[in-house]
Amino acid sequence: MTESEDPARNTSELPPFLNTWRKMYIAVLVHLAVLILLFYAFTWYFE
Amino acid sequence: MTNLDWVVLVATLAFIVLYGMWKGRKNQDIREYLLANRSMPWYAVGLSIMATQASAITFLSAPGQAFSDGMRFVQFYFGLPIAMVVLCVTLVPIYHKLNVFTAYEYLESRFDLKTRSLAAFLFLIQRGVSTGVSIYAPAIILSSILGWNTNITCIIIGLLVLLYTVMGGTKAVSHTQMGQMTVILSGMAIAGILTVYMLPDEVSFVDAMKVAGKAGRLNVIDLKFDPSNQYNIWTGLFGGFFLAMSYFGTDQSQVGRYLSGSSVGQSRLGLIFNGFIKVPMQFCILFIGAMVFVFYQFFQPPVFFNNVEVNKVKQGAYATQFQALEQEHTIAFQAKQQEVKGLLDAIHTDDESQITAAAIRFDTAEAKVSGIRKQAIDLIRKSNPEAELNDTNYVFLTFVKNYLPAGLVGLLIAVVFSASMSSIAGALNSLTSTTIVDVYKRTLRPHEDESHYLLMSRWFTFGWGIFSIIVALYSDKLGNLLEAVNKLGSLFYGVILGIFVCAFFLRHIRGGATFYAALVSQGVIFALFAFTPIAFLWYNVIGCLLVVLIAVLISAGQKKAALQ
Repeated sequence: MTESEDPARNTSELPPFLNTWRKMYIAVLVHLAVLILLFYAFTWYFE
Repeated sequence: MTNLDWVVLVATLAFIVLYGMWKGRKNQDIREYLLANRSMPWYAVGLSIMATQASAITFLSAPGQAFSDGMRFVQFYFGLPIAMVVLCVTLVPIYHKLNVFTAYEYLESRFDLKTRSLAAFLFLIQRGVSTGVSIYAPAIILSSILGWNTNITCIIIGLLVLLYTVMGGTKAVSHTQMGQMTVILSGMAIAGILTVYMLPDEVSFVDAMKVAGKAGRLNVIDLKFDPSNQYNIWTGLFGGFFLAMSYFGTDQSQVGRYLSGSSVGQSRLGLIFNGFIKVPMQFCILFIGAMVFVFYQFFQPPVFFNNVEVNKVKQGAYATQFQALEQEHTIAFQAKQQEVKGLLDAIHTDDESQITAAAIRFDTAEAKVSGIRKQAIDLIRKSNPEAELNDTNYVFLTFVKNYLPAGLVGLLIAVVFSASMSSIAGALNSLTSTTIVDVYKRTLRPHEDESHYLLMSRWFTFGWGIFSIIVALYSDKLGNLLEAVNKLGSLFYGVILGIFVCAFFLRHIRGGATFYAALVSQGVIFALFAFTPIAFLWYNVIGCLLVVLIAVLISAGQKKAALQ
């Protein structure tokens, strides 16, 4: 699939934070990973 | 409920309904009625997605779940943020580019009419029935606790939603959902703060958390893999991912929400907003339940939270035995209170051996109370074999009714109504979109003008609303099937997702192969549901993979036959 055929890349609108959608997606996944780690620590601490 | 509670409840609901009617008063065509003219900003899209997903049961059941089983339910949502990212990259730009009204329209351009119709049909069945249950489930709980008539409560919830959805369509739904989420989040936050505030003076917030932790109520993460366990990290990440992909990617009640975004970027931001917010929000709701558990260590809870079932057993042949159990429960609770105080004293010493010994004594006292509760539930079962024996959904509202101050009870009842109305409104709107676009306009009356389709959209919204109310009125006849109906989404979502995976990612597969693969897979999922104990979240994974696998095999067979 070329870039012009890929509508995901074709969009010109950038996110309001972090400049690129790729960084935005990474932020969501990192946020999830951090939450899971914090929840694990929370479970372990109060067990 | 006091007069002040009634004023707060009626004023909140009247404001939401009137605001929805006013916001949605101008609709020129079905693009405006079904998609709000693709004009919604990201925060409206994000809140609308959240409000459609969060039904009243979310806010009633989750605290009750944490009260009785701890906070591990939050793992159910771990797959959601990953699904949000995948959807933003794949489906959202394609839906926008194709300018579709519904997710199923895409299937005809990729495959054929029969595959589009099959997916739309599966959606209409499961969403139509589950919308009725969405009305019934909070109505039965409100009726039981507040002594209201269940049927009248169902009709009021249904009619309130119809007032603004019939007139205003998507615009009214999205704008009211913003107001409803504001009511819900502020109401829950106030309830959470008050729960901690109402604990005895000698119990600090940290003490409360330590007691909850020692009682196993802060067990957020479970790393052990067990396919029959609904709530561990693996089920949450994998099953939850497939469920979220299917629900947010192919269920029109969600696709319709983000298709109303003013651009690809605004739709993406709405989804990403949910990716950031949903897990912490669910954690907070469950945490309220854990604090309610701590509260009930110092204030005696009823032996069983569903008052209707308690009253039935008290009027039957087992009344004397039940009352004796209630007295035993009081004595056991008082003994447990001493152990809770002992546990708190041990916690304050910071001596691990003392804390462990106190925790063991507390567990023993807790087991005694639980044992009496089990005996009470057995009596309820004996007295009425069809009684509802799970009182999880009644815990939080019973607490609200008995302990929160006047005015706040009304606000929390408004939270339940708001949550119920927001998810029902989103569902009705999506049922209308699919009926008008994928059935009526596509097959039955393809050459009418816009005003005709707009008028019919309003009639279909009204019709689906009435259908949902009727399903709600007959839901008490479902008995044990009620739980099965709650799992309805997972029975269909995997197969629908499989169809979309074939459409998006397996370019060589054609409509016929996908259609027959979906039919066979749906049969297999029904068989798994009927004959195996597999946790329902796994149906999403299995259904999706089966469709893909069978479609690939049929396609390979067709290719081989063509070559010969």
